[in-house]
Amino acid sequence: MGTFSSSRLQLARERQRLLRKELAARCGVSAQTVSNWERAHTVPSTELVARIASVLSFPEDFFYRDELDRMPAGAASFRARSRIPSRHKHAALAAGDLARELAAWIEERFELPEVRLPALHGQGPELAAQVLRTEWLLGQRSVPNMIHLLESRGVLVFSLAQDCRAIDAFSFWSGSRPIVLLNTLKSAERSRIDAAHELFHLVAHSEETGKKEEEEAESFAGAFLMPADDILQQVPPVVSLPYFIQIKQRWGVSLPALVYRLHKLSRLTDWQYRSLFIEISKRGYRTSEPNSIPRERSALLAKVFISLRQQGIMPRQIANSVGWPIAQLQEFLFGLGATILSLDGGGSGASDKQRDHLRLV
Amino acid sequence: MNGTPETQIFEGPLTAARLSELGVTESELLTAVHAAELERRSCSPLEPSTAPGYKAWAAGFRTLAEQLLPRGWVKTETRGLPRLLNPETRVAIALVNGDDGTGCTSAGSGPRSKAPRGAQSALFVRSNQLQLSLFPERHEFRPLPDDVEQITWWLLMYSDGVDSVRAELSLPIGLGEDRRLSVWEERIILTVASLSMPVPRADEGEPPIELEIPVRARP
Repeated sequence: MGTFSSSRLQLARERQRLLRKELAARCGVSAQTVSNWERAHTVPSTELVARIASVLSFPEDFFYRDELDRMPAGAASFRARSRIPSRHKHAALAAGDLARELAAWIEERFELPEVRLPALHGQGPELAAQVLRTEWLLGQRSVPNMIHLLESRGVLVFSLAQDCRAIDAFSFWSGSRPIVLLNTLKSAERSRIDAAHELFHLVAHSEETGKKEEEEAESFAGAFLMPADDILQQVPPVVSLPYFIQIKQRWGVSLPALVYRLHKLSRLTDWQYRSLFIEISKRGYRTSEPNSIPRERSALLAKVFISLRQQGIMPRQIANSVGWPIAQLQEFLFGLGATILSLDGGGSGASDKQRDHLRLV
Repeated sequence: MNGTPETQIFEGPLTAARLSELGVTESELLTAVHAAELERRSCSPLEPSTAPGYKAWAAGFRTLAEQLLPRGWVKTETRGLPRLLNPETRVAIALVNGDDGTGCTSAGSGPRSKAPRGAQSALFVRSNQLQLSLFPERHEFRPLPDDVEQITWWLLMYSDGVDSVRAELSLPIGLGEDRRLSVWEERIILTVASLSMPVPRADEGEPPIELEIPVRARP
């Protein structure tokens, strides 16, 4: 067994959204002690490591692996960053670090699609969307599956852990591999927009993003998923919510996103836009998407996990191999595939409740 | 049914020109019709049976008002009958739910209001009739002589509750014996887009976009 990793302690604590003093209280030590461990000034005793592992729900083994290069706070693009409590932000960044570990683990064992993302720095969102559509031979056609599209270009897509509800999605580069974490608790339509939003960060932004970059990414998502010519051709002269509810499936976007895009293209007057939005709110469509599409799944992860299973490697062994509790692995795959994470052969640790839960992913 | 063989009907390409003389666009009227239909469809079966008709009427009126008031029209209400009035052209518009003759122009057909009308509607219709007989050059509305009151048009809306919605802006000059609006001087037929328009399948006729996601286990 190696030496105790201070960076892994901090990561696990932030992942579980605990403050130092909270972890300290649960371990029966002072906050200063925890601070000393995380700064690698002191090392906890074996008994305390067991206690830490139990409080943070990580195996003890996790804390004795190699030190991690934590992702700097600016490495990930967060939506509406000011509204996100810092505890959530840290938890998300910790999820990002774990995702990098999982990505590295997968890449050691699999050849993944080559990364082919053009650099479009400094392009406006509308132009960037057109350029990307042209380069990727999409023309004016609808994007069938955003996750598959990203994966075909070498992007790894994981599910953003469930307790990061305040965050829609974020993306970052792990070495030369782009990674997108998607909040799969949002609607399928919202996830498509989030995936396109993150795509823009990956191709156009290298620095920490602010409000302007976030707005650009959101405009790009609209332009990329709803190409101007196609949307203008498809939308009838008469503005009606029922029609929009039907036709939005063509682009796989949410009703508010479609209305917003049409207004931006001057296809809706300010008045029409306003009254449609009021109508949408009134009918509860902002929170519950009418005429919704099925959730998009990952093809890449399905291939990886099916192949692993064929090699006799089950999810529990994968979790052990990365040094995580199986629950962490589940979270990264939640909502991305119906079959990739059934726990058959996963060992006796999974309760019946967990099994039922996992069939639903 | 329309009673007066000389009813003048505007439809298709003639509609827009006639509406523009009245100072309203087809799009504004259709937006109101759609809002009304949306409201009608959102009614619960637990509501009173008159709710869909009433709420559609109210939503249609409000939606038309929201569009016309910024352009100088005014809302007026006379003894329970609300209308939108263009002070310049003296065109007034009231709303009413029509029967299944609404929007139909086949021979012998003509719309009636769904329900018998009250005293105020009868007065406006009578006033239409009088003014049109006093000023037979009625098709030139601008400018109207100062002593002429408004001419009241009705926006008739009909829905079969499934996918057919029809509407017209029409000028009544008489009520039937059943006190429904049924005698028309003019009818302007609106083209309502079907509410259950088939959505074209994504990229119909084109081969599906193939996305390759090669994943190979390393030896």
